[in-house]
Amino acid sequence: MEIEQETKEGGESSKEEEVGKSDALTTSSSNLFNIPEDMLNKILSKMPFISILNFRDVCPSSRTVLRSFISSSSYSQVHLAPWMLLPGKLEDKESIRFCTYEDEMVFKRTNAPPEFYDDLCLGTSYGWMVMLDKDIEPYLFNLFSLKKIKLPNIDTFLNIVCVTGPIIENGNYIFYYEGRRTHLKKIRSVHQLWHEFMYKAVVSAKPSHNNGDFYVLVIIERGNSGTAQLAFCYAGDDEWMQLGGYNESYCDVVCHDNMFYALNYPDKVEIWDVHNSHPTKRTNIVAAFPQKIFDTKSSLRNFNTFRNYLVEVSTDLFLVVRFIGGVLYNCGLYALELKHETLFFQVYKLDTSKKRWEEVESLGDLAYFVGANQSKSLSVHGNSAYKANSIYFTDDSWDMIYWNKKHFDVGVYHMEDKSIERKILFTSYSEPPPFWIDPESLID
Amino acid sequence: MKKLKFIGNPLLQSREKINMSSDKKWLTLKTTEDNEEFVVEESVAIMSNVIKNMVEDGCASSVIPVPRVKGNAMGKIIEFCKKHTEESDEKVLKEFDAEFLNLGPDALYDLMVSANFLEIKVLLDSVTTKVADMIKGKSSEEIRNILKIENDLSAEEIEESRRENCWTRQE
Repeated sequence: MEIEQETKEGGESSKEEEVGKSDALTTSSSNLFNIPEDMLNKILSKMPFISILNFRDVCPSSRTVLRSFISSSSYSQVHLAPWMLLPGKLEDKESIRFCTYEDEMVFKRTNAPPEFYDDLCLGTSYGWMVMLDKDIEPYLFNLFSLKKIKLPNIDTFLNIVCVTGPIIENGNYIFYYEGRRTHLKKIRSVHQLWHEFMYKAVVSAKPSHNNGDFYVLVIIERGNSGTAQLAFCYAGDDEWMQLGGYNESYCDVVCHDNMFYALNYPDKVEIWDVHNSHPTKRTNIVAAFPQKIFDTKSSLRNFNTFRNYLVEVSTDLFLVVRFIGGVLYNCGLYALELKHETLFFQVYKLDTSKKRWEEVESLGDLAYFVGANQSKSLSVHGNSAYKANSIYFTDDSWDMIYWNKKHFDVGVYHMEDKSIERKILFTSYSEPPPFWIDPESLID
Repeated sequence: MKKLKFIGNPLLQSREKINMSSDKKWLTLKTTEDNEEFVVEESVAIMSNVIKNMVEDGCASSVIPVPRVKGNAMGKIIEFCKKHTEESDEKVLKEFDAEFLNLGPDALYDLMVSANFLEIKVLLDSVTTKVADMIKGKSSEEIRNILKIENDLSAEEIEESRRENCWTRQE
């Protein structure tokens, strides 16, 4: 790229010096970092994301600059919208690929650890994936720094599911669940454990190298009993802790610094404090799910269900209900295939004073992202990769995914015209399933 | 004898001299760092929010002192403001900006800092966009060359970043 000096026309040219001559103005070559922060942020906000990644490695100061950019208001206007994790390619297990939703811009990173495609993901938050390795040990994996953080052992976890054991017999895990003896083969055990017991995991924050402060919450569903517990641990803990009783039905949790919101089906929103060594339930808002949800479910055909997500927007809480229908596809003479497909969404806002959920028709200039990630909302004003007033979803119906191994239910629902678009990329099964990832965590 | 500078075409200068006595208002801006004076139309000068406020508050006396901005930067800035006040055709302005901002990084930084200080939004937007465009799509190495930044990452850090950040964009 040529950097040219411009010569000015006219005027008293002999007196006018060009601004371009560096010796007239500056001495240091790294002048960029002497510019006031808000201007640097302005420049960064005009750069595409991949350039920001490259900028990060220019010199040590650039990382400092990027950190303050992330926490500035210029950044929040840039809307680094979530990426979707793409399935691995057989011939290239060293790379991890992501793409944006609408324009399908693909980003690839190399140097993936060998176990990445073998281990299971329970959920994503920011740039973290909560994983279970082959030995059913949970850990956090940072997609960007490739850092791994060990989480407390699976034993204390399984105790929460009222599982006694595990005992290892002939290399197989045996544990007792609700009085029944359940046999888990060590090698394939992870998948079974996952889709029978675990629904979702969230992490409270991006653990930066400054402070390893975070906590992890896992929603554990107990099979067909319809109940779901919360398992909790702090960074550095030895054990998982159970929150709430055995008859809870947690369906979603959303973290907000030292506090998290939990949606407890069918009528509670709990606000928990995580300041002390034991999280405490600060508030219990009793607001029953609107009857409309149940009426809607009844009006659909068979094989349908709904999933609930809790989305936080500033200080408001929204209930996002995803109606999933089972659609029978005829794929041969005597073969019927059951495909699970999201049909539509309903969104309700919590009125804390009236203790009621009020339906909302529009999300304004926000887009919601739900699925196996920590539910999030994002203003997508000016971002071409995502449309406002829409709900982007990935598949978290684990039992259906693993039963069928046919496809993923991924797409977007537009609130304005109540239309749904399905993402073709995921019409056939592959591993890992898609997750929403926050690329901002890339900047440590 | 003070050096007065008229920015623009010499042919226009005489016309401007004739018009000086008419109802167009003129301001003199003086860069206090190097004592250079610029005579500018008020309509051009008030593209700077700082100067605009001074004029509106009635504090603009015969000579407005401008600290922190050097004479040559001031000259460039006035040229920019003049063009943007005179011209309304978007296309022409775009072409002008492209040529005008064809400068080295150091010059651009100075322009940016001055435009920020004087609160000239249009210029600030143009320069920041220009710098962003210069490093868009470039690798770390290329960015370092373009912006003339020394790479003082330690060998360890270089290795770490090579390992962590093997990112590419694919279609």
